[in-house]
Amino acid sequence: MTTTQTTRQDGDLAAEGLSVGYRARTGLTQVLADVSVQLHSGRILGLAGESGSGKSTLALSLLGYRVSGQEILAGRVAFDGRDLDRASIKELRKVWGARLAYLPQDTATSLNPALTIRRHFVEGLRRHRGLDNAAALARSAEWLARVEIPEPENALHKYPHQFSGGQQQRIALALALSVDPEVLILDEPTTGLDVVTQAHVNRLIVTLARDAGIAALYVSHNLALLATVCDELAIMYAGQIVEQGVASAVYAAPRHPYTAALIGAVPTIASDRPLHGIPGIPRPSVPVHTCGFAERCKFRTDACDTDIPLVTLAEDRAARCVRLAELPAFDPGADHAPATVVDRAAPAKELDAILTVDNVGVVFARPGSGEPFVAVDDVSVRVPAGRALGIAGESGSGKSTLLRSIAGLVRPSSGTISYRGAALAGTAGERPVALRRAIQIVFQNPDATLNPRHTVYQSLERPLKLFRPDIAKRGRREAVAAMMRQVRLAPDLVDRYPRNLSGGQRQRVAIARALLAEPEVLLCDEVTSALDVSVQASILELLVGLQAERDLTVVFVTHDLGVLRAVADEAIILQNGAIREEGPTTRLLREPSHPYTKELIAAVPDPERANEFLSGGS
Amino acid sequence: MSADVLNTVTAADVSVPRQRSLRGFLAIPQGGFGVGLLLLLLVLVVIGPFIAPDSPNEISDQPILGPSAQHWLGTDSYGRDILSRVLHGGASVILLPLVAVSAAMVVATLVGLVSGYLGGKVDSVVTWAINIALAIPSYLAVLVVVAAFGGGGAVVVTAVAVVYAPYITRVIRSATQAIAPREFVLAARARGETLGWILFREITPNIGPTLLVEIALRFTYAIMFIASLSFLGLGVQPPSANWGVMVAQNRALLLVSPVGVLVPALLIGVLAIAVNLIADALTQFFGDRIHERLMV
Ligand SMILES: Nc1ncnc2c1ncn2[C@@H]1O[C@H](COP(=O)(O)OP(=O)(O)OP(=O)(O)O)[C@@H](O)[C@H]1O
Ligand code: SF4
Ligand SMILES: [Mg+2]
Repeated sequence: MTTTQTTRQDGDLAAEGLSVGYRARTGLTQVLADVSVQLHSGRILGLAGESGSGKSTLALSLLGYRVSGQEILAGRVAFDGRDLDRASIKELRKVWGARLAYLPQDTATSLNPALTIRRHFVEGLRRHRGLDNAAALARSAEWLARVEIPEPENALHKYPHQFSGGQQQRIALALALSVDPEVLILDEPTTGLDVVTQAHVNRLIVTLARDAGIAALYVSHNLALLATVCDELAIMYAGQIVEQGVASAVYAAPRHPYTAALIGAVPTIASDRPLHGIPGIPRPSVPVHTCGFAERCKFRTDACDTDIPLVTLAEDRAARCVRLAELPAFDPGADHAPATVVDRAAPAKELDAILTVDNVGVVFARPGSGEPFVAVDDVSVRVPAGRALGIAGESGSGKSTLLRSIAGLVRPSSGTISYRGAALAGTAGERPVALRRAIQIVFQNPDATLNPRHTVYQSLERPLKLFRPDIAKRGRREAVAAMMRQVRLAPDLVDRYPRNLSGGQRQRVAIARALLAEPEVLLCDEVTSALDVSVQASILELLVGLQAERDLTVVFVTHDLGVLRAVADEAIILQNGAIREEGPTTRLLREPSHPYTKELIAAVPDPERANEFLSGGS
Repeated sequence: MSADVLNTVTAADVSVPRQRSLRGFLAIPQGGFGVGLLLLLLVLVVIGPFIAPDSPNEISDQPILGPSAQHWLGTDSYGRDILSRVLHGGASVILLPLVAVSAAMVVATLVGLVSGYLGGKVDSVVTWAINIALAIPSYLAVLVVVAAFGGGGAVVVTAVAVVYAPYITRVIRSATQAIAPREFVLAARARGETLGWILFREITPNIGPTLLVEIALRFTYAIMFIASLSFLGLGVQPPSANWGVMVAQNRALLLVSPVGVLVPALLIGVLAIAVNLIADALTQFFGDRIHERLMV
């Protein structure tokens, strides 16, 4: 390989004053306004922002890729002296895959399930690099080895589905890089992968891209990750770049109120900084004659209602806010408002256990093979009343199964689960009403947690009917409205169907549904993992607040150690269905003793320990 | 603005997407056209008996007369006014398939929901029964049953219902299986809701579109099926006025007086096409929503 040069000016790709819209029957919606970014060889630009802010649109526009209905309204995309936005499809085909590489979240887009890995590589290397078969094969094996695929020669003859999700993404990365491109566009390449796998793939992406002197754009909603792996960071809101600068500097000392708010919503494992959600919801289209963030900004004044330019503050920092000069410097680490992290005086050991899990095992029959699958393996844990227990681990570690067996949705194969000292029946149907009421569960997927054919009211009325006979029919509307206010939903949403609510709102309705039963124990299964960080923070804020207020016991399943730290007093770490480590959350995260816990912690991106993260932790 | 106002999301913040309405359905070409045709036919069938010049079995004139001012469609071989028979003969063409499909639907929905939701042994038995039933050719089965028990409306309706039920059960069962593991169903189970609530309040509304499309499709088949049985002399028995029976009886006069065959045959065809267009439009109308549901 001859790709060690780190400055290659020809590889620079830039958007200049780019405005993009989507045309639909209802008219034109502008989603990008006056965006200028420049990618430099050997450097990675991170692009962060809430869902719908236009990140993917910018990524695709930079490639010259045109979705149907998409229109470039102003500006240009310049690459090597050419305007990609005006290039013919024939010209674009010549640069795509050869000089501009793209790695999306979904490997189904980058790998064809019907072709062997070998075909994928040879195709591109022959067409774009003119290699003969033997040379192409040698180069493919070399790249597979570089992304740490075991037995590369062998792997070439397999099909994509024979690899795990993380391996597929690494193969897609090798494929993109094997043709020696100048630019690499990454759109959430590790979202949906397991934490440890994510860290692995990210390390590879960064090392390989830097080594090859590639100019890269890394799109992600994970701000902490971007601050860890990128050189520069651009924050996008409502189709505009609101702040841009050196990644670590932007993360440590944001200047724009939105950046500060976004960072305040990112859960971290290192500090006791409380989480704060960003009130309101993201603006659906680009702002006109006003600041895009105005509806949600704490610092808004009348001066903000104008077109605001991106102001250069220092050599390598720019922000789009009229009040930059007067606003205080934000310090995300120095927020002392008691929002989510609660320090409780009494040690957990001395409290009575409200819920006890004794030697519980769950075994599933595996269809086809005779070998049963052990999802939960001899787990014992006690949950003190009024406290929050966190359960963390990778996907497939048995977290949800354990929680569902407590909820009476999965019958344990062995062991007992007791509530206030009395054993619980295996399924909810067999438990008396009082116990079903006392233990409530909230689920992960905001798209499935509510019945799509029931209005919010119909969903919320159910627990009242079943568990609160004391509330007469006439009082139910009032009780529902009161609960909606508690979970910060306006009662006028009560007759909406779930499809007319955002993900965060649906999750709030689901929480309200559980709370209306007035439970003692609230089981939460990854309730924020499908949500934007800002929404996640406000849901966590809500949960922690409600827990303190109602003296609730919470069992919270999560794969995110930052979230674990924000909500849980005590935690257990699960792997392959068994407990690897348990203890107070802060201690567990600060002084892990089990190697698996250490591995999980090392996989969490932390901008302050970027080098450790990139070198693989220890 | 107080912090509380800022924190709370109100209805005004979230736009409501376009509702799927009846108007939206009629805007689909097949939908509007199909519904229009069906309405016309229904009007004909409902008010037909009142405006018919003669009663259907009355011998009103010479046999085998061509169209004339007095008998617009002529008379058949018994001298009955064909127009009057057409105006009387639609009710059973629509009613028998409707009853057959409704009966099949009720049974199939119950069985499909229970077997799809409960799974396990119940489901194994149901699947086994469906597979056997589907292996038997349906025309043959009905012909044998009708031949054995004699024709007539009741026998035909029962036979058709029994033959269609397994097909519908299969569709409902797999739709149920797609919904049953959803979290809102799990939430209902955790609340300890009854089986009836879970099946009919949580699951059924979500398979509604599938159910509607299936009803419309089966209705089309049943119309053609029962009409052809009547034509074969196995369904509605002469001398009843029924378009299928009329086609069979007037076939002998085809060369002399073709309208006596063409008009009832055409009406059966139009009826089947109208229902089929509606089935098509329903598929389109719910299409993206069914898709949406499978994605979640
Ligand atoms: N093909 C399309 N047609 C019409 N509108 C679209 C299309 N694709 C995206 N949009 C709209 O453009 C805006 C920006 O979308 P985009 O996908 O770029 O956001 P994003 O920042 O990548 O979000 P996410 O974090 O959810 O991936 C959104 O309002 C979206 O609804
Ligand atoms: S311009 Fe005004 S509203 Fe916008 S971020 Fe700055 S202070 Fe807030
Ligand atoms: Mg995106």
